[in-house]
Amino acid sequence: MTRTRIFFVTVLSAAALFLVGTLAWRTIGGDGISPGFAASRPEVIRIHVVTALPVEQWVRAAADEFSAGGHGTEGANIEVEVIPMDGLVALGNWERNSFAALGTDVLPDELSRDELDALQFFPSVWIADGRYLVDIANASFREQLGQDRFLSDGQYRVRSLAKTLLVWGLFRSRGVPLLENLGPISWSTVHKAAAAPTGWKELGGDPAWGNFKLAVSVSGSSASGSAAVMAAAGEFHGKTEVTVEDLSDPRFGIWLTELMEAATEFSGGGTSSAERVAIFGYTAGDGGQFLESELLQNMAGIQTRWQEPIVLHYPSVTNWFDFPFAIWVGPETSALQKNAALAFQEFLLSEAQQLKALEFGLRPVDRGVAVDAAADSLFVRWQRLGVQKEVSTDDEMRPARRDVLSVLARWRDLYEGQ
Amino acid sequence: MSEEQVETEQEPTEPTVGAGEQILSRRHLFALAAVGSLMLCACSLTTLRAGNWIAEALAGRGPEISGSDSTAAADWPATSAELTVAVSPSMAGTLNELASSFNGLGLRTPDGELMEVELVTRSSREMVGESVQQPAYQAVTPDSSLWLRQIDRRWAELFPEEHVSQPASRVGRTTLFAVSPVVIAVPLDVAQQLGWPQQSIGWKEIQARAASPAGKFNWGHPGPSSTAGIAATLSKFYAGAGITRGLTGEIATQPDVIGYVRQAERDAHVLEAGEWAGARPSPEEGRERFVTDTNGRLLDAFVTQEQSVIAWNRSSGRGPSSLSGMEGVGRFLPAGLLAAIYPREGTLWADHPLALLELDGRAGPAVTQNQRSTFRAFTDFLLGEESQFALLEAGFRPVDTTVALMAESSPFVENGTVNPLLPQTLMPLAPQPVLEMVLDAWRLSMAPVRVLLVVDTSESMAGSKLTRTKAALHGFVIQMQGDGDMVGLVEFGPGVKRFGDLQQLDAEGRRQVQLQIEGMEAGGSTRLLDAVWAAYSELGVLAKADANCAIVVLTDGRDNDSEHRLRSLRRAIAEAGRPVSIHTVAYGRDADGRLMEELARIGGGRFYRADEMTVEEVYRQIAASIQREE
Repeated sequence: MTRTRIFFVTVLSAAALFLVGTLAWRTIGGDGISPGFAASRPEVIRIHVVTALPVEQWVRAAADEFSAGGHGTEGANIEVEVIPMDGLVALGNWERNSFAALGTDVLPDELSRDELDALQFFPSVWIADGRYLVDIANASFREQLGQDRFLSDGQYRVRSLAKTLLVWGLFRSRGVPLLENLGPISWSTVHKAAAAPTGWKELGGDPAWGNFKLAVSVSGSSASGSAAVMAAAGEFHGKTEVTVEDLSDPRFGIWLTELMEAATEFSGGGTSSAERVAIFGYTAGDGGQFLESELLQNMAGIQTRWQEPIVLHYPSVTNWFDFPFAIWVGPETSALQKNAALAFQEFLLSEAQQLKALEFGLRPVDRGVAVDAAADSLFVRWQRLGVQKEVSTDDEMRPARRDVLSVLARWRDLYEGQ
Repeated sequence: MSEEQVETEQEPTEPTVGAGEQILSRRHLFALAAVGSLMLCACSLTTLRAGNWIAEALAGRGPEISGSDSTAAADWPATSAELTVAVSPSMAGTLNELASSFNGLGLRTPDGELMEVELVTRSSREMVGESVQQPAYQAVTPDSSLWLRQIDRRWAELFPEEHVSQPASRVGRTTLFAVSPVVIAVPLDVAQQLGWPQQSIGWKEIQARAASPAGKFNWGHPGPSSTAGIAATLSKFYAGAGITRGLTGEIATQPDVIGYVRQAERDAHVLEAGEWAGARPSPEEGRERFVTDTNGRLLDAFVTQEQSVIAWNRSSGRGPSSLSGMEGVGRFLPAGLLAAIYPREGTLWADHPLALLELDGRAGPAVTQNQRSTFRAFTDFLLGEESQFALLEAGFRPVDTTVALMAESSPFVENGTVNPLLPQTLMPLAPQPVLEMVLDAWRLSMAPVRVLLVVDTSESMAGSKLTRTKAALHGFVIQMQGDGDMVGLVEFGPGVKRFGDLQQLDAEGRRQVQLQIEGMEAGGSTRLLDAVWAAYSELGVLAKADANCAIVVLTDGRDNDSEHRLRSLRRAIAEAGRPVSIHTVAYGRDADGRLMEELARIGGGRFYRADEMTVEEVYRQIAASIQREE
């Protein structure tokens, strides 16, 4: 072979390598255009859904069904990843920008490859425990960014998915003497039980049961825990809207401290009060306040492990959780992701999924779906334990304001300080 | 045949390389092209990497240089899917088997990384201290959720925030996978004597029996580095105060409560890492190691998890289940079945939470998305049916409450020594400030100590030996927790080089001692016995009935220059008769072990051998031991 050939082959090799190198450089080094923002159409659109714990199982099951069902938008399949997180924890993350939302002066087109990669995991949706949490997050966004990030109207408006409420529950063996001696259950009767110096001995139960123990989620660590303290404050002051002044009232502080002496200390695990009673039995509570859905979900386990059920009692003032589906409308998520989120929202609100919610003890927001509409409905299964088909909504607790939540988050320090 | 043809035919047989006339075969040409391509690829990759590096450097994202050792130690790639979990000793064995099964599945993350779980064993209390720094793990499973609360509290103290509704949390997603209540494990015959199972038995009865002048009942419990230890220690405060809830700081510090706790601490054998305080040399029986009290007796009761009782009973009281969850402790309960007593006043739960740490990258690498994926996958695995039954088989109560504890094959119904419907009462965990005070009060209830650290800084200690010794001494001072404790440093070589006064261990005193330690320099000969006598004389004057006085001597060599001889020192100490104990550390191979052992014997203390790897742990043990001396 001649030198000409050698030269020719070498030049061709070099040209090919240059081409490959250039392509590699653009791929690795990045060119400031994210796949999420580019005009190209990906095959899969992935959305992350930060989900409140009480609806996690239902939403996760729905997400699996939705992702497997070939649902798509503009030719791309949608995959839904559920990130379980308590509403208060998520709110804290929004407020301190732990999800790394972009600043107002940053445009997605200007982002580096690493920064764009980080946005892959940005939540497209937040399903909070209640709409008030979304409102508080929006207030924070208005302060930081000058605008809401979750909309109250239009195509991407916040829409409730399902409902549940706080109910009282008592182990059957404990409920009989307690109700006989103290009357219908309320925060006031629970306070009396908690303050009984000799515990069950003077409450008419077995002295070996020790003191009365109250199952309640930890305030400040969970949305339901804060709601429970709000409800207690509401009953103490005879109000349905609680203010910082109400919580700071020294008389209430003393009363709440006495009450919470009966509250059991199970701080971690991300578990609800109902799960804790199922796992830890009477040591987690002879009775207490539970989310209706969580209590119904755990009822079978409670009976298996502790050989008796918990009986439900409905409070006179109801405390609702409506699990709003809030779509992030900031530039961190692409138009495709927003539309994918919308498609998933519609899926959750479909009649089939609303019926499915009954299997998780959740009350459908679709008024056409009754709580006993499905054979597997937990409302049907546990009706004998006091489950009410319809709940009176005459008196409802008003949701917490931001300043009230801040106080509730630190109520333990507040009262221990006093 | 043309010339060209001839030339072509010759190519394969006679390749020639002439000056200016290089003629290569087709094969060589391709080889050359391949080599060239490889070189160009290598150049391209290098260029790409260099380009990226330069781009990152320009963007201010260059590799960080940290002065922190812990940061250097804790490092993992940004795509790592290997999840390291710190696990408490009581769960380590079972979780290790489950982690192996999980790793055997060969699961991969969406980007193709292999998911793996590695375990490191830590006490729950150690996890708290490490998790608020930059640990070498991304998840923890302490023996109880109460430790997670400690982590978050300390994190919030480190990074207070005023403008958000919710304080920051170091502890992320948390899942329970198995639980076990804290019980008092008692040999079956002893339990029946106590009235078990008909009568409910409480902490107070156990403590009363141990305090009985007859002295026939021995009980023990772990130190407060575990939930069982906290339960046992807290029970003394409740019993001392005569209450079952509402323990406040005011109540906990009342003199009669402190008096009760002090006595109860002395009546109980508190097991720390290694051995329990007050234990004496461990006799061997066969190949099994026994740990006994000063009278050579095993215990009658020990506070532990229900799971340990089940495991013990399944292995007929022998084998690896030592109840303590600590390696190398040895046996301290007699063989035979144990009964689990669920204390009447209430108990705590070991709920074994698995929690992801939200390592945010501010002090080291952040937890990666792939590690999060591994965490989720491992969590799902632990909550799966197979794992839940494996945990049941190991004696834990699975969190899947549809798994029946009373099923026919369940270990909970094997011999009737545990009761799955108990406990019914809970020991209220005191509010955080009170809990810290209670743990401090436990230390305060010990007599204050006066310690002189007598350290060899002769020529042979130069280099890494002295560096390690300094680190060990710093650790010793940290271990001394009481504000009433006093520590001094005596440096010896060719004589007593420096005699530091005893410093009260308040903030300023600690600073002074730390400065003295840092100022140590090696040089000269070794006048060991003179230094010991000087320290003994100093402490002897200060010795009081309400304080433990001790000397801790460390040398890596032999006494070669002292005026005192061992015999004269022995006589002098015997004549002085002062309540000062002498603990000795022979450091390295060249240390005069026999002399040090004899010194410890004369001084009624303990003799240790140490090397550069173990010297810090030895000092830690001595500190714990001195604080518990009576």
